[in-house]
Amino acid sequence: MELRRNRGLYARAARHPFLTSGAALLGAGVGYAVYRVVTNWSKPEVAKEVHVETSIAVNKTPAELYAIWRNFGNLPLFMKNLVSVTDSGDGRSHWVAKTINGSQIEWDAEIYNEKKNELIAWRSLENSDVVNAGSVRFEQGPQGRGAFVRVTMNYNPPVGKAGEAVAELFHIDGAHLIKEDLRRFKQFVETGEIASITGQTSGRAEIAQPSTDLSPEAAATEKARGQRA
Amino acid sequence: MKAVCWFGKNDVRVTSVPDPSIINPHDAIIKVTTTAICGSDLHLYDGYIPTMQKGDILGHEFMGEVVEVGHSVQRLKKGDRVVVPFTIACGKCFFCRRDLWSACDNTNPNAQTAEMLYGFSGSGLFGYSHMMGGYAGGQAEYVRVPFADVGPIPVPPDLPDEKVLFLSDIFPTGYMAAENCNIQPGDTVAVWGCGPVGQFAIKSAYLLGAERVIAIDNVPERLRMAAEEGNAKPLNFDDEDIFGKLSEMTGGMGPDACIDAVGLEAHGTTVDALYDRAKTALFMATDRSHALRQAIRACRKGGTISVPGVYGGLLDKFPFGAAFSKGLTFKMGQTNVHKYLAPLLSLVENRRIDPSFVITHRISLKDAADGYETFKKNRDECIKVVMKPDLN
Repeated sequence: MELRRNRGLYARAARHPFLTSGAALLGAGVGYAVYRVVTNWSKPEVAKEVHVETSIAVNKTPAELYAIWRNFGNLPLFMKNLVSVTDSGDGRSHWVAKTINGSQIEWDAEIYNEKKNELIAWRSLENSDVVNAGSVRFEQGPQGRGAFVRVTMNYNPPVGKAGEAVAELFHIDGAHLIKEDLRRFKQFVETGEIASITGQTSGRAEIAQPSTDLSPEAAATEKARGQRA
Repeated sequence: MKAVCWFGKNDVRVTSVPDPSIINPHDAIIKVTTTAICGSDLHLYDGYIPTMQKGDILGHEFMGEVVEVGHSVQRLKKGDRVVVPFTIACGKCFFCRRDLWSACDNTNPNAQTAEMLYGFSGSGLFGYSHMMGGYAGGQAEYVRVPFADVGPIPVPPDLPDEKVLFLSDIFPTGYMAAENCNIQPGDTVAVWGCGPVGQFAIKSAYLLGAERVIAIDNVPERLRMAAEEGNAKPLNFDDEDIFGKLSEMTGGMGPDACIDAVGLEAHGTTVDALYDRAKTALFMATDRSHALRQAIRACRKGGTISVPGVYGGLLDKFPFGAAFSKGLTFKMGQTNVHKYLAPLLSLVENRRIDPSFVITHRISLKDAADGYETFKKNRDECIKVVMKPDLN
């Protein structure tokens, strides 16, 4: 797993005409924000500022995994912060995610590269709350080792209205969250459920009664059951 | 229901807690008929295992009756009487398919924590810290058992609880320790630590063809049990020079295999204890390993060190030069309990072994706090405590 910031960021910010004087005195974050606002006005963004790569071995065939992933409605079952993904059928889809403070962010995406049973690559369209692009590859592992699922994500940490609210979803924790989502994907497809202790009993005083609400994991499992049935 | 909860070092209490409920579709709820305190529970009681939380329900050796099953459970049904392995395994991943059940990829909800410390995470465990999954344990009236079709093994009605309960942990753990010794005809096996796992390692070593088993401890009743029940040659490390004695007993060669059934809380001198405490504070070492050091030194060239004793963190002054120089083989790890359930149940059914021999104390679950204290202090010649929720 790898997470790196684009090293050219500050250089590019400093070259921008609005920032040629005094920018060096600003905190890097402020300069960055101004740069982002300016570029948002001027041209479509390319997701390239944060780059994450992670992978996991899953005891299924690439074709099985591709089929589950390509049905985008399945993604919220194991991607913790996704609320829904609606596939409009023309290679485009609408994504809704929840942020750490409970608000929602949305974006439209298109598939720009796809090979059946091997690869799905997507990128966000204009006017997205979060500019992002990613791909998932399903590679045949060595004998007896199922498939290797490799996810690559590029995104620009948002500024403005989304701001800090999406930090958990698309910022420093991005690599970690994607790794955890992949782990949940593996659990879900290998076993049919996602390991959980949410809502279990204990001797802690704050747990007065067993939770009657389904845990996120159990809700995902229930939803999946409904879909299969 | 009543459950044994951990509230800190030397502080367990029997508390009223909510009954467990089904969380995932492969779960079952078991009404516990018999449970036990494991030597490794003392590591929790002594505060050696990180990521415990106040109020955690303890217990990973338990059995009972199935009272509820999730909608995806197919093999188990209400009314089944089962013994539950302490390791939780999915049965589907790379590791489960290779009989490495305790390395299951899919059962630890907090795998990321274990990965930070260990690189990779093992399976979830019942009642054994949040790093190991945080699952509520079975020292309780009821317990939730995930992947109920994979772990729990139904047991025949004619075998009482006490003869089958230890399939949950200590019998397979002792057996795997002996199996890991790759015992050949004529072999001498030395066992450090004659607690319950050591006792089962001794019996298992003979079952697997050892010529002779030597038992090392300093607790008289444990050594007596090792000799009388296990037919082992007892050595008290307070009275004997262990290296010299083992060497002498093996014609100057050393034991073919050495089992460390002690783990991270081996007893040492005061100086060592202070040293370990300082190292622990600096997170440079966490585990005391006198038994392991001695085993490495005593083992014959090309021999095997088998470690069923639990280690949690970092070892200090580890004689790796001796291990390398003698070409030792090391085998260790959490027990792959699932692998051993059926074969060891057969041994019990065929009366090759009666695992109840280790039990010295039978108490009610409500007296668990006393049970922990008695076990920890070796009071009243305590070797193994079993608890029954319905006993008064």
